[in-house]
Amino acid sequence: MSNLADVRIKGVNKEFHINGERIDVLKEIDLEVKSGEFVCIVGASGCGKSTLLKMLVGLEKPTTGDIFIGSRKVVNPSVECGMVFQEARLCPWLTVKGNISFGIAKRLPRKEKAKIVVDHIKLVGLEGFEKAFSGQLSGGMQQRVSIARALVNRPALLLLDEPLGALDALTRINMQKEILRIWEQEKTTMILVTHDIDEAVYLGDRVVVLSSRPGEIRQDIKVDMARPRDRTSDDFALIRRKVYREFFKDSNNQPEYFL
Amino acid sequence: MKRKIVGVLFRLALKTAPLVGVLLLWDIVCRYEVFSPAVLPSPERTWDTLLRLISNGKLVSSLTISFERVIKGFLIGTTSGIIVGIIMGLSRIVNNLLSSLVEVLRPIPMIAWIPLLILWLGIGEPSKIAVIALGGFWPTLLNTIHGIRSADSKLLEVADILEKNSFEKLIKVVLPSAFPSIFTGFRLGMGVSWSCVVAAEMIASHEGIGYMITFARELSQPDGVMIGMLAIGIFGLIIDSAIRFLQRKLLKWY
Repeated sequence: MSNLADVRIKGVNKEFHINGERIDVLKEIDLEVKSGEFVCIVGASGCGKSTLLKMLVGLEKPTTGDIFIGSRKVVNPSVECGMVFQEARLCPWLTVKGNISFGIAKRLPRKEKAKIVVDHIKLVGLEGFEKAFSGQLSGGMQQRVSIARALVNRPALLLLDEPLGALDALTRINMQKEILRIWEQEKTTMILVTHDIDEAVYLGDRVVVLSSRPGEIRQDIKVDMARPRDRTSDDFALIRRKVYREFFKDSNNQPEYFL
Repeated sequence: MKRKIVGVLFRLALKTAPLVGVLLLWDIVCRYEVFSPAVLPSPERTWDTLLRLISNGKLVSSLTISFERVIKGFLIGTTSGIIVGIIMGLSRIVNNLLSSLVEVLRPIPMIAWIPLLILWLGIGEPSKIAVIALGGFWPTLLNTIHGIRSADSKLLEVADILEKNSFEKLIKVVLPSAFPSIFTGFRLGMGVSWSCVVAAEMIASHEGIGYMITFARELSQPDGVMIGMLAIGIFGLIIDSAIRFLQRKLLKWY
């Protein structure tokens, strides 16, 4: 399914109408993501990056423009595209096993379902926690369940909307490694939205910088570094500086330091 | 370990102290004959009456009969409460259609229903069951509506992404999120049903715990009345504990 999973966003504009007032959220977004690529989108809060993901998954419709995943034009949600949110959004009445099983969209025999669930519990490293309720898990573990649930249908594309935003710094670094490992193992195309520039440079093949509202693509920066990336290396600092510059170009609140 | 035992004992003492205090006060008041025994019988006499009512089977049979009525009425009331509640919770149209009716009928005390229900359904079992059903109906209805409405929209979004159809969303997301609320409705409904049966039996019946109380009053036996009242309280507590136990078993995650 290699070529089929290319993602193309063509001339997408999105506006909201709130109390009769028009608010432009996204402006002329053109973006292509190749199958198997890992693209990170960074932008200030309110720049429409979450809206962009919602349109990709089919929960929102572009005001103008089209989105294609492979040859399919996105008009409504499909399991072809999985999504992970900042909150794990698990069913509290289900166990880890139940929550992951809930993700399976196809009608499958019980045995096959069970096997998929076991495989994905292993994939996200939650062996031994199968019977735990989500309330008994830490934030990082909940997010692992959420990722597993999004992957059980083998989606061509996985969208991650600030998936690690609510986690503490150490867990976040750990989970970044985990996401990379899963990406390398599953070869799923991934688009991750974040406001953490380090995270974007650490994870992405490309870092797309959005301007503040209305969100426009300001820069598409290739991260030409082998993985695992060393956050303390010069190359890493160079790319990070590039993203920082782009990020704070027109804003008044310049960061106090340039790395 | 030792500390823990002391703590448990202390809490037990705290809980029993008021009961012992009331008993002592009761005993003292009776010893000095502050009230006539026809108004306030002594603890000993009440105890004797209790033993008599247990040994001749009156107390147990009265409670059983009342409990049977409650179960029948409660099942009818809560089942219809859940069904109507789900429909009203899901459909805005039905909700708008019925809400004014609910708002007018719900504040009517259950006792006020009894005369009408007796006129409609006769003085036998059906009118009593109907009052109890009505008593169980309202709390279940309101809590079910609330539970259905409080289903997490973020979880429903996830269900949409996973291509779940409306039926699956109802069964797998909306209903489970409503369960805790529905259970609260059960508990409240059971309480109301239990007080309804007593009221119904006091007005028109020749058996059951409510009748036992009225009968004792007619014979001017305050001890019998008090035993009846306490039995209602204790039995109600047992039922409530049973429902809470069930809730803990069924809603482990909650």
